[in-house]
Amino acid sequence: MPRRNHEPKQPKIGQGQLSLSLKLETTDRNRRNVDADDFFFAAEKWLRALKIFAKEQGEHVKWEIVDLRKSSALVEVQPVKVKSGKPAPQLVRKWEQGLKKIEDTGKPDPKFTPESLSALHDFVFSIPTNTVASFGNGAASERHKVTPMTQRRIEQALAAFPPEPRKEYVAQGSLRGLLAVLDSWNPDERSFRLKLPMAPAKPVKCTYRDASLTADLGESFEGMVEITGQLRYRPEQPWPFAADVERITTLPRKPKVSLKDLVGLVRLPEGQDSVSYVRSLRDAE
Amino acid sequence: MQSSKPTLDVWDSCCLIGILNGEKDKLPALLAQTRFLETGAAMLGLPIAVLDEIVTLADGTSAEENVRAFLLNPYVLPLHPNLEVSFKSKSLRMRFDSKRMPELYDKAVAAGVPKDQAKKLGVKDSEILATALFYQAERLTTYDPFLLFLGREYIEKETGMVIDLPTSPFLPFPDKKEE
Repeated sequence: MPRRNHEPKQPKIGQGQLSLSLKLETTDRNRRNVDADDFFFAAEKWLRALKIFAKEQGEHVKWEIVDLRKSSALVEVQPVKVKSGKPAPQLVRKWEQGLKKIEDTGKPDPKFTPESLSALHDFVFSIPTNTVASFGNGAASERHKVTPMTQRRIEQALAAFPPEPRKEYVAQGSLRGLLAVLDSWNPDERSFRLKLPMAPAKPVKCTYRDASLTADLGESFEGMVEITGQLRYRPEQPWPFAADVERITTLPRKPKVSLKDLVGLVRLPEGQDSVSYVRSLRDAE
Repeated sequence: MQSSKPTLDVWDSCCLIGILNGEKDKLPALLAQTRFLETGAAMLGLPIAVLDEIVTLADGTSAEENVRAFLLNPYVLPLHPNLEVSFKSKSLRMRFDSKRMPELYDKAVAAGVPKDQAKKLGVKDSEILATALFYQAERLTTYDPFLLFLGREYIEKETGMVIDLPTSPFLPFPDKKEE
């Protein structure tokens, strides 16, 4: 009897009824069975990617399990139109073609929208460690592994989409700068401008409600202060454009303690220097 | 303070801790930066992740008061993480992981990074790197071998930000410029 190197052929689902499969294998030789948590976690991400792909293609389908085996751990699904109950093989073909193009070129394929590609990206980067996942289309010979190259190509394709416009956002924090100009004493709209050392041409409009915040500043006008409160950022901009101030701290005009004054104030444990100390801290986290 | 924009030099924790620990191999280069800072030619950016490690180390010791006073200096700029820093940090961690970038480990080891540090960018390291990039620092000063490797191999070419030891003269002395 001839020796077979490949897996046994899958039972045919029927003419035109293409399916897609996910197979997980463990790389641990001592434990051949795939962890159930790993399998369901990856399968859930994979199914989510398929659902989003179908939705973005305008197909109203459900995914039916047509094969489920323990041999490693394999699940095979096919899309079935919800309305007619008939299979939707064209969806499988589009998935296969789009995925192949992305894997070959690292460029986005029109069949994958940013949303469906993002779901695919989420799946390939959530494959549990010590596990090998394979994509398939129902035919065992056409199954192929998700490799670091697959991940890279999908990441490249996703990066090729122009970033979605993002909105302004708010973060609690503090900011240091020169308290330059008091704009308004209007009780309903008290504000001043803070000139940032790293962005002197773009002063931050700081609004505040509590009049005592500036009443006590005295000499701090035109000196360095630290404001604390809600900072308003525009996308991609490192410094906020506005702030709702809750507290103002006056900073000394001249350095009171310089770097030289810090020399030798702390003794690290024997045998550690600053680099190994910091590494041990961070590796322990 | 100068009217023009100063240079932003972000320090990793090992720089300030090296000074606090009085490490003779690091002191001359690190202390030489004082001149740039006190003349307003440069600002010392300290990501919150760094401040956290410094303050924790000094807490309860005789250094606490001096460290607190030092951090109030007008040239010290605490750099807060925010949404964009978090996203950038996550992207850096995803990218610089030898599971996703198979050649990373071999390249890093060949560049002299210890094997146990060459596999991936750690959480805090990526936060510090992301902070420096987000705030558009000219430089990230560190002694960490993996960060130095990433700087030379990728970051400087892609962004222009230098990641280096505090030896390279990244600024002309302010008074020399005036001569």
